[in-house]
Amino acid sequence: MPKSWIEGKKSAISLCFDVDATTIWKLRAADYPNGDEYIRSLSIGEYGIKRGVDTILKILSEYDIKATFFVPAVIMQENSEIIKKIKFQGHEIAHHGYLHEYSYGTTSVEQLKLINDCQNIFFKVLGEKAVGFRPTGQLLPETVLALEKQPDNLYLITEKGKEIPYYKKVNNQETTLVELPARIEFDDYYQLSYNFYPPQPGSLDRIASYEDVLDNLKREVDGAYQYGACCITAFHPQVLGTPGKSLILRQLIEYIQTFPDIWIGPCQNLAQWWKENN
Amino acid sequence: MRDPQIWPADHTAACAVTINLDGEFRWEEQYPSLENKDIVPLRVMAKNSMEQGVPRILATLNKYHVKATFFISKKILLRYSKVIQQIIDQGHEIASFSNGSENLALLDPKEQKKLMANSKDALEQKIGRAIKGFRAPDGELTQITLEIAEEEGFKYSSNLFSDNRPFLYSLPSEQSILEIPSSWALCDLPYFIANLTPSEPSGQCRIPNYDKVLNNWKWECIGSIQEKGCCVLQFNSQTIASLGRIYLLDKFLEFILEKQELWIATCEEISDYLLGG
Repeated sequence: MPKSWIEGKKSAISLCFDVDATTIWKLRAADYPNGDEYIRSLSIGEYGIKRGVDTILKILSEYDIKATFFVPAVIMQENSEIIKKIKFQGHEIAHHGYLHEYSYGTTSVEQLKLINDCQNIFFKVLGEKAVGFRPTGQLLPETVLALEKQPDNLYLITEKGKEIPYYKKVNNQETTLVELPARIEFDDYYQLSYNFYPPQPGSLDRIASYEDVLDNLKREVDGAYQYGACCITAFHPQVLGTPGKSLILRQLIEYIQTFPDIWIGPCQNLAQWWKENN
Repeated sequence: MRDPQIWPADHTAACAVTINLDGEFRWEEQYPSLENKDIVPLRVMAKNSMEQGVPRILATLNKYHVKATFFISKKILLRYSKVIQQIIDQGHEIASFSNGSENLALLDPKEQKKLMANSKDALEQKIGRAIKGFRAPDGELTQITLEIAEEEGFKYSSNLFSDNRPFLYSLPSEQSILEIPSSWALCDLPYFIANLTPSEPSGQCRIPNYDKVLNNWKWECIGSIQEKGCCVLQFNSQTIASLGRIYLLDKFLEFILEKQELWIATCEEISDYLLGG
């Protein structure tokens, strides 16, 4: 573990929100009969854009926190005003595929075309390309090597389970792209997403107890603090932005802020700092 | 339509308690390939929930003088006519839960229209006045479903999860229908339904701690008050009315009645208030 993090803090947390909106529900329903026409499951995703983002922004503003929002490019095209609003409030907007597709194609040419098309949408809507990328599908080694050569790209979040940033390795060689360590324990979707038909999760396991989810998240923060690790969340406006679940986010932030020396800020700042110090 | 964040008599937010009654038809529809004998445990549980459970729900609502909205399918109405009469006699709102438990999104528009119209007619005949609300059975629906609901004279739909307050849903026909949205977290059935064979839920998930589920509903209510929204609970007799769980309804009603900020209303009252009906 590093001896210290940004500003000499003992641990670092980036709150990340995936603004998936309707993309994941469209993909989910696509294999079901007449699935393109479903409106109930889709409406769960619509909440994210209609209310969830604003709820999250309000909470972040109250606690004076800057965060990172990962946005599929199609959602940026369809809802450019709200995405601009996120950016205007000082948060980072990062790349999360076009349709939240689970495959970027079988050749790096295909993959790079999709990625570059998304970056062009970012540039068109926000006036700049994203420096961060949480891909929703596997990247081929040649794709990563090509991304490394593009000056805009700073960090990736392609893996889960590690505890500190590292340089992304391709063919056993380190690249200059910083990989930030996400963990499933910080994914609200895993705990709280639900739909009866099409089933989400597949087993139709229960929506977890909010107080248990909050308690577990606090224990994860405790652990990261004790061992000096960093935390990258995968929260969703359509999940933690709903009325009752937003109380989880609020109380988690209040808990984090009781620690005097946990740094909290966007992924971009964390990755940049790590790169400058390693 | 009125501003859906300004509620009557200085209330900050609204709360509607809705009861879904689908009984054994839910399982017959969900397992069409199984013989009735293969879904016996679910059928017995469902039937018991109509005969023993619904009166318990009514007694609990009565204890707190709360009026609820009962979404009732036509098949339930025909099979459990006496129980439904008790609901009507106690003055609760009756609304349509379609014909049986069919997944409307899988039916052609003509078939949907027939089922929805039949259900409305049968319920209106039973209660002697127009009904206003429509909820599709658990499963999916399409814009056409809501378009038919509007054509058939329903005043509101309570089917979607896209907002924290009622809104006008724009239909392809350029008409609109009032949507009184809810969320899965506010439904009791996904938390509690359990059966081994056939597996319900499919992953044979364990039953969660009752009090913690109650707390989820409380948190949602608190969040709704903060957002000046409308909190729409969905209880199913098959899960909420069991001997050990009916207290959840009791405790939840006690909780919302303590919240002075909440306007506790039926969906019809919410619809009438917002639409000036």
